[in-house]
Amino acid sequence: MEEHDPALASRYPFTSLGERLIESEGLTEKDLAYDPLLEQSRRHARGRLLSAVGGGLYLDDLYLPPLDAVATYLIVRLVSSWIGDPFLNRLVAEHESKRFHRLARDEPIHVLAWLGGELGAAIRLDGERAWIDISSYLRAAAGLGGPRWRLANRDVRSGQVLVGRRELARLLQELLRTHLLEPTPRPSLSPPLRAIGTEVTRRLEERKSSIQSSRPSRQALPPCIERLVEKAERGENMSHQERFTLAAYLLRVGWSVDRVVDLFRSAPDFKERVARYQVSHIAKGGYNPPNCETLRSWGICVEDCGVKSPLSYGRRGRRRR
Amino acid sequence: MNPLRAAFREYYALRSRSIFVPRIDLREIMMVTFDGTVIRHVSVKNLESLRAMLAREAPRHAYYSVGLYERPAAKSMAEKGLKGAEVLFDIDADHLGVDECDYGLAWRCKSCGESGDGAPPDACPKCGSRDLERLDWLSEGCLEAAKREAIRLLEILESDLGVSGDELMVYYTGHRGYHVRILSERFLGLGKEERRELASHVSGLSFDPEEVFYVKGSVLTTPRVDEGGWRGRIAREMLQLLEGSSGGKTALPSSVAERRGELVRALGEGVPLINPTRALVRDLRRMAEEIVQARRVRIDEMVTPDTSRLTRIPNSLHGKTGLRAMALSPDELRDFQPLGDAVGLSDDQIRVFTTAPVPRFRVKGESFGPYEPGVGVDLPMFAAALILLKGRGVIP
Ligand code: SF4
Ligand SMILES: [Zn+2]
Repeated sequence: MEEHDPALASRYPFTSLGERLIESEGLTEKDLAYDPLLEQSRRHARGRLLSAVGGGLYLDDLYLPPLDAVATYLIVRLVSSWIGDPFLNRLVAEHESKRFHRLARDEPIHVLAWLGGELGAAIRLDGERAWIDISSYLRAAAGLGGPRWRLANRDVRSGQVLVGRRELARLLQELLRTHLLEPTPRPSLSPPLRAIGTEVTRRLEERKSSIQSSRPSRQALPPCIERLVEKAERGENMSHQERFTLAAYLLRVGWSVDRVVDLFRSAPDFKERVARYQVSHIAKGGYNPPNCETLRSWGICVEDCGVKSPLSYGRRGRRRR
Repeated sequence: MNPLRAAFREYYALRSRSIFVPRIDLREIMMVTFDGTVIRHVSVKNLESLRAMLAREAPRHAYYSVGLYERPAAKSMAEKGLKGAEVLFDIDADHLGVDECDYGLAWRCKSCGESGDGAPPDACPKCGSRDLERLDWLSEGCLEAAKREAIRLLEILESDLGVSGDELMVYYTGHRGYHVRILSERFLGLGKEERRELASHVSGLSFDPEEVFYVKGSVLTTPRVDEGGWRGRIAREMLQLLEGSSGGKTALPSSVAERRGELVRALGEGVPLINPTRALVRDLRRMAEEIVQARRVRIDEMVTPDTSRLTRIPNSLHGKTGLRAMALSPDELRDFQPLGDAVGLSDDQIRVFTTAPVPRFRVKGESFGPYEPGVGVDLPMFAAALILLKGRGVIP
């Protein structure tokens, strides 16, 4: 049975297989910090954390023996909880889930079904496809852009959604990401692990200051625009209407074409030339972002701020401050 | 005491057993009294205290949260500690664009008291003031339209989401709409985005015909009749159209009629269609869009994502009508007649002096009106309450 394949614990250390391994080996924080046999786990954990901060993807440790893989994962989680920075948590969750997807996308469907169960989803196989319970589907798909993921375009019956194998792997990536974002208590760490933490913190601060200098304050953004900015930054797929709204708004409040183009850079289908052409077209046309009523009908409006246009929200917000 | 408030109090004294709120100890309660005081951030331990409170305060409006909280009486959301929230759908006749909902529309000038039928003019014809009040009314046709939306919503919730029976709570708001709450545990933990997704599912907002009639290269994949959700609804309705049209009754676009046989196989058995013409793809997508438009549930999409909402306490009285915010089972909903079944006030006679035109209306099977402004009429309390609470009359 797959569930007992030790290689699975190595690939998916966050599962109950990993937990059982920790228990049977009696692995403690002191072991993780000092055991000379776990030196390579500490090295890889450091690599993974730094890679998360730097926006890369660390794959040097894909095929470690199960215990080392589990230890590496544990160190990553302990150190990031110890640092306790929400921005870092997001980066780590992003990085770990991407790494997960690298492995999961090639798994047979029954392994994915097992992983889904480990991540709290109820999954029923249907040939080469699977039914996933609607709450888990919604939790996962909420972070995914594009009409393909919208419930209204899917086969959904009695609280279950039908998905293909690759889609399931993608949904599980999201479930793992949200799972990793759940708050954890701050552990106490021994010096060797704290040293990793200190180094990661320093890199994190560098990254933060470079972001801050390149981006204006976001204090007065209306909630709909705020959400679009986040979507763009997370590299989620955005509809044409969403892109237009965001670009027109930002240009109106004084962003340069370059800066707006930069914002779209994380989009999966980003093409510099196309984006630049579209954004400067909007800039030249002097378009206003659509008014709230239109945004409401496009499903872009997030809450009723009591204004007629997102632009007036900005004005009011700024005056208040 | 204001006779209206006395009537509300009498209702709460006599009918308090019908008042209920599931998991009451975790809810935030809010009330608005007849003198306009808002009582917020209240929590009660059990139903008995809630019933006693309603009988004591006889409030004009009484609400409870969709959220379940650790500390429901705390002042801020952060302190309250959200444990979960029921998923709420709000159907409001005002959003349906149904003509019947304008029945009995009138206005009154806030400066001089002049009034008239129909939508308020730009300025008062008598004194020129622009401060005019729009007065709406209730009509059976309008309430029927809202009820039809609610019934469609329940069908979608059952077939697509698998929630039915006691996992749901349905009620008439006591005014111009319906509320539906999903109570099941598995939906309580959903976040804002997930709720938004549910809202745009039932309202068809996120439906995309290009996904459902999907073209890749020269292959067109269609939805299939045995699928769930909008895909299945579209496929079944289209198949019916195709089969019904064989006698030439329904006019199909020629692009579609030409390929009827292949389409029947595609919709029925999922056989992809090869080399569709551009016109065919366009027409199919347009038909799908029309089907969704006709069957979508017109909810207020802003309400569902918001876990801090409150709605009326089941079987409490609505302060704009005096009608009961009646909790209904899905079966009861079908035959429910708001202007008969939801009457909660007594038939004690009371004299009302009208201050704006009152249209003809029926409550509890009895007809009243129409009344000119400035007349005195003796009416049973339940009918008088409607005129008074709708701002078209006073107690002399
Ligand atoms: S009300 Fe307007 S500004 Fe506010 S979220 Fe909605 S669309 Fe944006
Ligand atoms: Zn006047």
